[in-house]
Amino acid sequence: MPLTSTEISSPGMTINMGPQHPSTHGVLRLLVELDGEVVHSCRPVIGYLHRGLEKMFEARPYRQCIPFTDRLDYLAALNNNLAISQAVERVGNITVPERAQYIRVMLCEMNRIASHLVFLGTYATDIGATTVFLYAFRDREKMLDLLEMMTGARLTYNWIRPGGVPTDLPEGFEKAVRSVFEELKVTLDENNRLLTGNRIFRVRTEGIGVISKEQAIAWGSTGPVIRGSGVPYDIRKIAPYEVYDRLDFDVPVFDQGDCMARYLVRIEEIRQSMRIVEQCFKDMPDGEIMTKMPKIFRPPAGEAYSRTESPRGELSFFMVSDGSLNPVRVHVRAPSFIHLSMLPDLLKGVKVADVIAILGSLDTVLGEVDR
Amino acid sequence: MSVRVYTSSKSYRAGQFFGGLIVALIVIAIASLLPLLPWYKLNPVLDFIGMHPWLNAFLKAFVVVNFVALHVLFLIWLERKFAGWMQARLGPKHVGWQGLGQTLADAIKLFLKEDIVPAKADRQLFAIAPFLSFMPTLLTFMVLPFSAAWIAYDYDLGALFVVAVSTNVALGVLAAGWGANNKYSILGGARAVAQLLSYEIPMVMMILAVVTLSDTMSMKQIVLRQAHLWNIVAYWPVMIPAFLIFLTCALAELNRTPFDLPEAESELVSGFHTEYSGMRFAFFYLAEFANNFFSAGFAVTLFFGGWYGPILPPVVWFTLKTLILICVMMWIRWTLPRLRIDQVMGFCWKVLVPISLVVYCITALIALK
Amino acid sequence: MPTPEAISKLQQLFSEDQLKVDWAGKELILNVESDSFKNLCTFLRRDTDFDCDFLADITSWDTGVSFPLWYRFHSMSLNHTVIIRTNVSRDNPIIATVTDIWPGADWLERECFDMYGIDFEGHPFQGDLAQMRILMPKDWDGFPFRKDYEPVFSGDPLHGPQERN
Repeated sequence: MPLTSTEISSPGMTINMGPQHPSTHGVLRLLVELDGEVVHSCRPVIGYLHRGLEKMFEARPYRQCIPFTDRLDYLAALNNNLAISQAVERVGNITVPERAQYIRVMLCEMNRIASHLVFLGTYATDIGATTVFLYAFRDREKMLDLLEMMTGARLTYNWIRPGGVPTDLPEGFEKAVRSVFEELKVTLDENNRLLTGNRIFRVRTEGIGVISKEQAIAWGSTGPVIRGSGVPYDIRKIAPYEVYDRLDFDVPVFDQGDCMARYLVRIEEIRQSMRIVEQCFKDMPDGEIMTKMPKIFRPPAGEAYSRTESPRGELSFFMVSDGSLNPVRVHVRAPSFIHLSMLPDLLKGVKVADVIAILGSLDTVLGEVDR
Repeated sequence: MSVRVYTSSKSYRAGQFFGGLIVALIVIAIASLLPLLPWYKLNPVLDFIGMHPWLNAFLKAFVVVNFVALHVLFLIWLERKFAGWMQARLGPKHVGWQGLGQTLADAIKLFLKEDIVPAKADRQLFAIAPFLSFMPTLLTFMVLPFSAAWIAYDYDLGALFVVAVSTNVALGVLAAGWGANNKYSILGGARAVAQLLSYEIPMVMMILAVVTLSDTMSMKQIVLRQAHLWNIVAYWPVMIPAFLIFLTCALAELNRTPFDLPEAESELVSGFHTEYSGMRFAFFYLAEFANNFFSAGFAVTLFFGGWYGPILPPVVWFTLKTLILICVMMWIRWTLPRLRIDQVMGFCWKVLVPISLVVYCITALIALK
Repeated sequence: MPTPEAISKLQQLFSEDQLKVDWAGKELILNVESDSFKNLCTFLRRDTDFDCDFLADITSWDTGVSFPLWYRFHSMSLNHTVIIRTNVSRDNPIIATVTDIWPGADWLERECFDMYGIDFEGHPFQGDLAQMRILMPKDWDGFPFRKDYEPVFSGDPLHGPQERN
């Protein structure tokens, strides 16, 4: 009598991906039930990097919260600085000078490029193409050099603050940015030729980890993930902040909802970000870069929240003030946190190799997830 | 505060290239001078060795083992340098000239490292696995013809011997995967065995095609038949696809990208050698690179006329062709991403096996004619 | 931005003492009592004038007397934002879950439970403390973001609870 597949199937094997694993990008732990090479179920375990930052905010004056936000999404620290600064500005009714707004937008977009380049490199490594990793990081170094020229730091900038920005553009900044962008455009095409058209890369990413439009909305995904599923949800367009309503840029949207679509969205966003930065240089007015702020800052009691588009998705800071020196509550709506919650549904029935491909395509940063 | 703007310096790359070329020329020149030395003075010694077969066998084994160990040192350096060159970085630089001594330093480090055996490992299997995977590789070198004279043992069934022996690598890999008692290892080991055995089929088919055309299984004879024209040129309509299939299978057998699933770093940490450290780990490395050299050398023997070539001595020609083929493999490795296991198996059974059958049938028709 | 008709529809369905409508700029803020909360959520999701298909955020904080809950919704088709505010008492912090309406609420609710101890009635893991905990270790005592939380040494996280010496 021939055996059926259920009779000969062995009990599943549980493997523990992480917290020390080459491709969980941080201290994420995935408890994966395997049946051979097929994933039966997956349970993400987070909290290894939980530092209680939200609680620490409650014990600090508003302006001293900024350095902590660098440690949330450490690949795009300026976007986090911007988000909390906006929350503080809204709760305290502060307006920001126009020039400062342009500078903020410009730097956030440059940080977005740097972050997406990290994604490009690490995702290529996840799929197995090691060379693209080094190409992407070489380009990212140039972006970090530019940001260092502006802010004096390379990773944790602690630079955008409530009321504006502390320093104006340094001498020769525009020229340096333009020369780096010229090179980046060339190397981006190079990477594209090396990876995007590659048949192996295509079979590894196309049709893998498909998130339908309805699922993407229901699960609350944002950023490149939801735009890869065909929803044009970009905070920069639907609820423009700073000067985004005056800038001309496209929001790349792909309908397939697979890993390839999410990858292509990010690659296209690098190009759009370069466009934005170039426009900022053109349109930037002269003037103040910092509002006069009281030395001791006591915002009126109330609640406020900011919505920004970080490289990973909708980054929102919710802030409650009771009129004292410190906030009562700061809550971070971290896009990576929401994206990770989709994993158990996404990973059902895929192969082990696809676990990495799908996880990589969500581009999570664990500093932001655990807070 | 300043900004460093990197420009890809063309002159630097050119310098590296010409430096490499000069070194290669020097090596070739030295190797070319070797035959001119007064070797005949050694004749009495050689006669003595010839009269004692045990001594003869021992010396041959000694030479083969040392050759493998030494060229692996060089190959690892080459791989790292090559990767550096492709990835816009420098590669090893500090130990010795252009980091030539880096591999030696690493080998010494591995020698000195503690040999860690996991607590719940199957100790015997764990201990023996690296040697199980290294031994078959070493054995295959016995029949690799560097030149008409430089072949350790000209076995009549050389090609068959290679096929029979090299498959045993799977045994070592499986032993390593099972013995370590690590879930990643067992997955890697299982993948490796599935992959090695599947890709063996088209590979054997292509070896068979060459053997059918050459009418011999002796490695030396296969090369001697190509004295006038390489196989790949003489029978190009069948031999070019045959070579491409052979190369693909060789990559799969070697666990190199795009078929490096058994040790896929991003998925299985390190696959079957996750738990290995120290000298046992070094043996896996040794086996991998020795296998790499052998596969390339075997391809040269089968398709590219072995040691034949103008001016330079045969050994140099053989090594040169092999190195070029190794560089092609490295080029592929550092360019392509990795496939998924079902895609790898599907590619073998649905694409390579049918094509190789067709190629073999055509070859048989040519041979009959 | 929800139309005035939609707002009046809302006010017909929910009585004055259950629901207070407020505006902050273009954003609608609905202050609702916790008993009508689930009905309001279902209505906002189903009604075509609101069509809140995207749950952006859930959070809570500690005022000392109660835990206000703050939900932010977005409508993809109509492109407007609706905020729901409700309150749960500190003694019996319990509120209906919205995971059946918006699956994305799962982890956000678990985080609220983890930090403030707010129970979400009907959540798949409700009552299962170890499964509900998300950022804190499974066996953690207390809810760390409450204002009256006293940090206690609950042992080495790697080797389980042990006495402090």
